[in-house]
Amino acid sequence: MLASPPRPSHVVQIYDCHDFVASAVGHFAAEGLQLGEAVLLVGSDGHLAGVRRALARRGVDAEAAARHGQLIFSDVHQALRSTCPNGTVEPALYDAMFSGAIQKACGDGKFATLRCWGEMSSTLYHQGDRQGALEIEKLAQGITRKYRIPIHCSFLCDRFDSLAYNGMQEMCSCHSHVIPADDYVQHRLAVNRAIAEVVGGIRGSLLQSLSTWKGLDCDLPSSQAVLFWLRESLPEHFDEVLARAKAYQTQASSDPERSFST
Amino acid sequence: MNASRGRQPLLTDCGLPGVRDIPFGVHMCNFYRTREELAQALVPYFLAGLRSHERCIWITADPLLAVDAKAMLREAGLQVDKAIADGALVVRDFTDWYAEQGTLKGSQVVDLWLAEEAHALAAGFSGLRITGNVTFLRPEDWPLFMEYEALVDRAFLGRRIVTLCTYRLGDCGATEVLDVMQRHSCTLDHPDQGWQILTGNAA
Repeated sequence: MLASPPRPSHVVQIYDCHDFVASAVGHFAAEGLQLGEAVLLVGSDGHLAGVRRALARRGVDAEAAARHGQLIFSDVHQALRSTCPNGTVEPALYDAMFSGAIQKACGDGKFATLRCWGEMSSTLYHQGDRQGALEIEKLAQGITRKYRIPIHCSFLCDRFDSLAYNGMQEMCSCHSHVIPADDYVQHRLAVNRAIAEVVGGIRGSLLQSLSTWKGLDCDLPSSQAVLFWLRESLPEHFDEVLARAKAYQTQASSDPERSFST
Repeated sequence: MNASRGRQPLLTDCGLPGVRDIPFGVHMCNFYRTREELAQALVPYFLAGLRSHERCIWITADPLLAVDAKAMLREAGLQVDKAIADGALVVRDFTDWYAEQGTLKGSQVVDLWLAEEAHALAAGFSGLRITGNVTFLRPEDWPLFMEYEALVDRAFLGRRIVTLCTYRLGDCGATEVLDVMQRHSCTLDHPDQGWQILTGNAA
């Protein structure tokens, strides 16, 4: 998904750790550069610096790529000021940000196409502008289709905090694909174990409930999908499952060898 | 072959009380807890297939191996040796079956099943009925096996093949259950009384 994202695609990465953003976006950018694509990165100073370091670790000369116009770094706050001059996003200005970058990088055939990463909506969301954040994502969905480009978004959220789930679910629903964790195996094991302990085996009415659950209209790993199902179908158990899953995930991250011994 | 296929019924008897007719091309899954629950599903499933003159292939694995499966079919009144001799029934442990097939990619295994369907129809059977129990899967095989299940789900649609994939519930967490349901046409469930087909958005 990061190396060769479908075209079009609109991916959201849920993160609660800045290193995860740097490594994922570094991978996304490095693969694009390797394929001869132009790469537009719209992020905070801290994240852009982290991506530069991640690219350096992969042996990519980010400054040279920037000089050649293949890699474009853009400050997220400046991008928000440019596209939301009156506090709300202007669709034409938002479109122009992408069409301008495509024209500049690909207009003369120098680079085949463009891939983009950004955190504009996450920034707006955490400034308290939920509606603006969702509006940007809806526009981004249209941009991916119009220009047939992949857009990778990062959204800051504690995926084990039930209070954050309204925003998280809304964000996921605005995207074609969801990356909920850096290590899918750990996430799966943690979620499975928590559900088994709190809810028990998936059979009888639970099996029926899961089979008829409508789900989200996006591609996401089952480990995240079952959490959305649980939140909707067994809300009385949701907090406890999340708390245990978080504990097991933390345990696995700190000591992978002993993580899931029971 | 298409002409003869066109004259044949589109539905067949599932064999499980409460379910009855299922369409050819269906790719069902079932989650069982015990060896007895597995037998409760598969023995009537194959007896119905044989009654409907389908070629039946049962690939067995722990906790119900080929020798046990044959014994259970005999207990249910089937002349197992005759059915095998007639080519109507194949009961093989997965270790033998896979040893014979070698290491195949998912798409090659699908092609193998489609060849079995052609072979069954050419031999005069009305279709192919198969099952596989996947307790042999290692956790690291899971993603590839789910890709195979997705391939099967698409490839068997419209074919004269009926499939029931069985998964031991103890080996499946909630995420695996959802993975499996999303890659099958429907789920066969056995609540306290009878059987029921669960279909829905996950399937």
